[in-house]
Amino acid sequence: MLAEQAKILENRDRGAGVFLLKLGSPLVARQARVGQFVQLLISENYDPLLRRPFCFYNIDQDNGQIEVLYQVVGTGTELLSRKKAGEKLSVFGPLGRGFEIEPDLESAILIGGGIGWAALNKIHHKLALRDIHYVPFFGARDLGFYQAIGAGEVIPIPPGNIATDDGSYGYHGFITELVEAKINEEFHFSKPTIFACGPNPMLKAVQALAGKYDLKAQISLEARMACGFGVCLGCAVKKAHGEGYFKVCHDGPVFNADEVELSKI
Amino acid sequence: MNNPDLSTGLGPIELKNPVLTASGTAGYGLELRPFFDIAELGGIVTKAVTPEPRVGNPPPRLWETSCGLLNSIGLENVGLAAFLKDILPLLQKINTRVIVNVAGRTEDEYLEVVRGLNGNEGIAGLEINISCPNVKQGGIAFGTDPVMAAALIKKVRAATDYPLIAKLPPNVTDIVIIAERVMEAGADVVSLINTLKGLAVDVNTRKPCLATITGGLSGPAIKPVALRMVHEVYQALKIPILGGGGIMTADDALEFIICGAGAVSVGTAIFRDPKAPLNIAQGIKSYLAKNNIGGIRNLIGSIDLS
Ligand SMILES: Cc1cc2nc3c(=O)[nH]c(=O)nc-3n(C[C@H](O)[C@H](O)[C@H](O)COP(=O)(O)OP(=O)(O)OC[C@H]3O[C@@H](n4cnc5c(N)ncnc54)[C@H](O)[C@@H]3O)c2cc1C
Ligand SMILES: Cc1cc2nc3c(=O)[nH]c(=O)nc-3n(C[C@H](O)[C@H](O)[C@H](O)COP(=O)(O)O)c2cc1C
Ligand code: FES
Repeated sequence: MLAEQAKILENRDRGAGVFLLKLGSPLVARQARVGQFVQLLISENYDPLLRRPFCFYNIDQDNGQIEVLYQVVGTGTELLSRKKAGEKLSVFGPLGRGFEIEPDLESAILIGGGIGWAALNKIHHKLALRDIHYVPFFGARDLGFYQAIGAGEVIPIPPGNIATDDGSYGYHGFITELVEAKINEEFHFSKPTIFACGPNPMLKAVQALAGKYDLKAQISLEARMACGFGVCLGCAVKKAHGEGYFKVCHDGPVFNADEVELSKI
Repeated sequence: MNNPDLSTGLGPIELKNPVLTASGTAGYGLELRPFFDIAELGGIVTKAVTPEPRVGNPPPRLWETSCGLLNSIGLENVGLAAFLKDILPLLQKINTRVIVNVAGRTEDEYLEVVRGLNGNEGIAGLEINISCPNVKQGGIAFGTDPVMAAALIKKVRAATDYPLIAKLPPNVTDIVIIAERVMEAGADVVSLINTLKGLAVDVNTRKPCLATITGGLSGPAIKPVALRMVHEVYQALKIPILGGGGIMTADDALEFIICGAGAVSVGTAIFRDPKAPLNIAQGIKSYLAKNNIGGIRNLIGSIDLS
């Protein structure tokens, strides 16, 4: 965990308001793990005042580079999208607790929703290279957004495992419906671990699936953040068992699905 | 002046430099250790300590506004017993001043914490938080009523020998009156200011952005208000003041010192840069050196009103 003046190597418009930011950030890259995140200081003046949190889309330790895939949703991300290669950017990280891949993992399901794919891209690559029964899924609002995110660009996702909200590509409906069908079809003899990131309604459906089929699931959450390293106590998510709150930046952002109560995020 | 003297004081509390962390923005101070040696700071003000552990408010607890931050943490903390057992021993090993921020719902709760802290090594003073906008009872109710504030400080004064810093809320008509009353009641220092009570609404859902509806505003947006209050209290009373509210840079801190603050607290700036308090302390030193000022004490209250 440290702050580093990174160099912007590329800030590419991928369409549909999605950008890919490549940073030369050797010290952060060296420590980074899949599922952790960084806080980027987007403005040198005080608007926006706070850093903005983003997952590692890619980590290239050999070349000291990290990549962030982001969607323009407001002031900070809009400002970020206007930054050019060659400019400097303060990167603070790596932060939080990432995904855990158990050494004896036999089968896995990946479920990405929208920009949530950013948190999963790297683990998709890792799982696909393993000799396990692995099935990735991806859902987006429409074809254009699916293409902008580029899920499965390097290591493909079967077309039958893609859903869009408007039916412009793949299955017309929720991705978790496809996942449930697949569990019933293919996973009679093994219990796959689920890795998921996406909007909260999707993650709730993942929690329900994991509960129904008694599966382990790791989900990556978002919360409004200030510090990103556990001192402001702002990024609270309710504990499913017992009283009180976890801090998404410190105890997460990746949680076991049965640890957290998402209605209270 | 090559080596200006950064040492300062807040009433009976001697500090090696004027920069402290603000309560609730650096945990118990220990969390900053990965970034720099916290012994380089004038001191640490801890997260509020209450008699029992508190889980805090439901989320969302944060909302960013223009150049400001609304928070509603709700005094989440480990409670007195865990503070004494797990945290204070670690703080005792660090060569800086530790000021414990104390909060409660009732007078008795404040007194319970203060008595529990009595007799421990390594506590330089208590900051009595009579100004938290984010708890239903207590907190701000004590702070906005000069009579209640004075009555509480009087009881706390009788219960402990530690130096007392009364942390006042800015949500009052006349800050000078309340500062005067708490000093008469036995406070050694006043801490100005806590967050300003504020609100933000989502126009699409028409719901408040924070779960508790209102929250406390901090950051650069509140600095002019904080500075004005420090100035008014110093001009009227010439008492020891711990100043803060929106300090992001050494120049911001210097403004507070020039207006009469004997030391400053840095809060929200830590969320942008965990090293902010250290950078501010170093920046103050450079300013003194550059302007040939022998020490920080020469600067306190030196505003030129001519
Ligand atoms: C651990 C973590 C990892 C993240 N990873 C990515 C990523 O890889 N790619 C990506 O595009 N986004 C990611 N996000 C979300 C991203 O941080 C927000 O989209 C960004 O902070 C918005 O900033 P803004 O100034 O543009 O928006 P604002 O103007 O602040 O807000 C615009 C909209 O975005 C929503 N929003 C703002 N901040 C957050 C937040 N922290 N979490 C959720 N919603 C928010 C608001 O509710 C609002 O609707 C992540 C968030 C977290 C907590
Ligand atoms: C997230 C957060 C938590 C806080 N918690 C406390 C607290 O527990 N006790 C207290 O006296 N003040 C608390 N404060 C107020 C700060 O100590 C400080 O007075 C205020 O934020 C103004 O300074 P700043 O603008 O530098 O942050 C908190 C502020 C923030 C932003
Ligand atoms: S963002 Fe400050 S504790 Fe998580």
